[in-house]
Amino acid sequence: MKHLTTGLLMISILCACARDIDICEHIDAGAPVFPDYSGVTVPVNIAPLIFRYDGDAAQSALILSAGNTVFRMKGPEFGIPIKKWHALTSEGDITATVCIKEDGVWKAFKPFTIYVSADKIDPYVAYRLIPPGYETWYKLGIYQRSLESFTEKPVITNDKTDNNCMNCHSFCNRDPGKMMFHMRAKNGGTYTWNEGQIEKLNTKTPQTISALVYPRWHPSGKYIGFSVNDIAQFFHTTNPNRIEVYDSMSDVVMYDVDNHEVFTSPLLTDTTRFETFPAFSPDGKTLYFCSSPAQKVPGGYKDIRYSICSIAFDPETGAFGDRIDTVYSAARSGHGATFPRVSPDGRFILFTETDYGCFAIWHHDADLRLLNLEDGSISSLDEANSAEAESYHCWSSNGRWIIYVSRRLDGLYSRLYISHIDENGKASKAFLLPQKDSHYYEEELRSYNVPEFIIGTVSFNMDDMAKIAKNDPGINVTFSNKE
Amino acid sequence: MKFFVIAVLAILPCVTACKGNKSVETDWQKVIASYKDDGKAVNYHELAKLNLALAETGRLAEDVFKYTQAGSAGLIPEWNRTNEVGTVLGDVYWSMGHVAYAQRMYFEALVVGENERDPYLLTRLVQTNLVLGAYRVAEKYISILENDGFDCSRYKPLLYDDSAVDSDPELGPKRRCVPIKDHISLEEGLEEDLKVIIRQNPSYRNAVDYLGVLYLLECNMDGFRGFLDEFYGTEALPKLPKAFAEAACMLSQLESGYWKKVGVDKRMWNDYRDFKTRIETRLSLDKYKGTFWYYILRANNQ
Repeated sequence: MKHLTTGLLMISILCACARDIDICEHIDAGAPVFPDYSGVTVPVNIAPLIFRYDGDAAQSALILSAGNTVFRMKGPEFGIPIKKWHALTSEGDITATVCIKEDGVWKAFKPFTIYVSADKIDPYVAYRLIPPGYETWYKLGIYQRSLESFTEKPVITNDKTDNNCMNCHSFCNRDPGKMMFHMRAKNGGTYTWNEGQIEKLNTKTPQTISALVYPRWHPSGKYIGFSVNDIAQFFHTTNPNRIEVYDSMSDVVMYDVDNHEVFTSPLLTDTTRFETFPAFSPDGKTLYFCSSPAQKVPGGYKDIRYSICSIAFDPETGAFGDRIDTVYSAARSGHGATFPRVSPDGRFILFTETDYGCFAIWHHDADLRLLNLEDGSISSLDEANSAEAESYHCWSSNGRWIIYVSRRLDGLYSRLYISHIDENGKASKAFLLPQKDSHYYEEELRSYNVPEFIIGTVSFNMDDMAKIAKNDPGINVTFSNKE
Repeated sequence: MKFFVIAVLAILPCVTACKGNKSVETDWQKVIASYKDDGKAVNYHELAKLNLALAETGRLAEDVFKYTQAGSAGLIPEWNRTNEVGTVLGDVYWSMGHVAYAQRMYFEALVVGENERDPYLLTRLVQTNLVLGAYRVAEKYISILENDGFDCSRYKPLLYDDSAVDSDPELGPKRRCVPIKDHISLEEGLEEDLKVIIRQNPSYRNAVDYLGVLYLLECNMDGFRGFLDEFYGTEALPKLPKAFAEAACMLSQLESGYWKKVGVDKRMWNDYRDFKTRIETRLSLDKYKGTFWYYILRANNQ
């Protein structure tokens, strides 16, 4: 009854607005709005696309229509209520008409369409929020955001852990109950949240280059693939890319979750090559990773180009295959590949292509590409890319959505974009993760980092995690010689 | 004796974002006047600010040894990942024309500081991004500053206008310092980076002064000699300022008459000979406090 009353009240308000917007003229131009959501494809369960009229007119309004549902509101900020938005998305594609009042009459810009896909998106995304800095940090944290609303909650923030650095969060099959991340500097270690237990791991072994770095959970949950890297950085004097982050050595190893061991293969630890960024096929029987001929750095930084390679892996025995296959050849493409991410159906690898180097987020040219593993073709995903860096991508559970970061808004601060991928691997025009306030991104001085879809919320207690971080000496991970 | 005086005395305009009447400009003369020289120079951070103020007022290569110095760390303090030192380092690199590294340090200082909207650092980042042509980033910071009530009318018209930045009296000279050919910052040392800046923009006085003074504070006479060999008599260094002339006198120990070749005044040469005699005869050197000779003697005795 209460809902019915609210609904009737809303309709009367909407009708009142409707009476106010009597369109007399049409403007032969698209509406100046921010963010630009014209022509984007959104999942049916996405949070409202809040945007604003960004022109000079003193009065503005928005008419949204889908099927038999029409919603009108005054601008310039079009704060569409969630329920009303979902009433619209349930009807199908939405037509948005922005109007302005000039010289006493309402004029309508060319309408645009927001395409609504019935393919649902996972309900949550986890990401790190951190200023796009180089060496220093102060406040940072890993957060989880509902994609169906605007609710954002911290997973862990560094004010609980002596303002240390934390990074490289990763989930097993988007399961919020199987998560890992690293803390760096103070309280340093790798932390796993698995089967309701928190473990602190000390992961540097005498046999490995470094502590564990870039992770990817094996789909079985029994292993986590990691790279171990000797990472350095330098600053350009002139290049707009500002900074290069590079490895002087790197290998790929496997971490055995139950036995607290790392192991690897000589084929993944070739001293003449840099191996990094592990990823797994959905059946867990293939390990993909990036590999480049080793270069003398920093001088040879422009000659570092990673191919995407694969090696067989037996999850039952932990044995690796005896040969490396190349699925994307840097030598052939003239570019390099980083961050391979295999689609849930195993047909595609989504990766970042850049002219050189491994840390593509600082490269303006970095774009997403889609490698079709069935025929070896590469799609340029133009609808998902921009003139600025795109990277840190991941797949939704149903393989129909990708979320990734892009620096397209201002060239520096990474924001989350979502694009639909159809069954043929074709991307739709990406949309900026909506926020409750359309000014949010202009004011926000932190970057979004490593978005990972999750199917629920991470439930460990931050204080418990902090206690372990500060007081627990951690489990010393050992190196196993099994091959 | 009439010492050489650097002609460039113009005080460079500083950060100009203002909130109402509250200016965030730095009064370099006040920094110099308020500096307390305790004869120990243990606070590198404060000493670097003094030297920066000297550079910004065109007095670095003239007056650097008037104050107790403590090696290159008093010119370019060690980066200790604090907001305070990051800000000073940003200002130092900005002053010497190393725009990319200035931007790096301003950003580090902003990130590590408690105020993520620090107007001084955001304004500096507006400047560095304008110089480097990263207009959209500059525009973002301008928007934030304006939302916080700061007047950015000084910089807003420069957005997306390369020729306006080129001809801007404050930012144009900095842009001309940005190397045309990219290289890795500090890979071969700051000295080499400064040489690149000077070769490209020889009229940019602060790079010349910082480089020469850096050699002297490090007592690197070979480096200083190379610096004079390359730049003395060019647009970059037509005449030697006081500290450089004093160092040139010392170089005459290795090459007779060198002081004449680089235009050192005879009165200064005589002073140098007197200084040496006083060392040999153990007479007071007090009258030479404030010279490079006194500095290097003290440095060698420590």
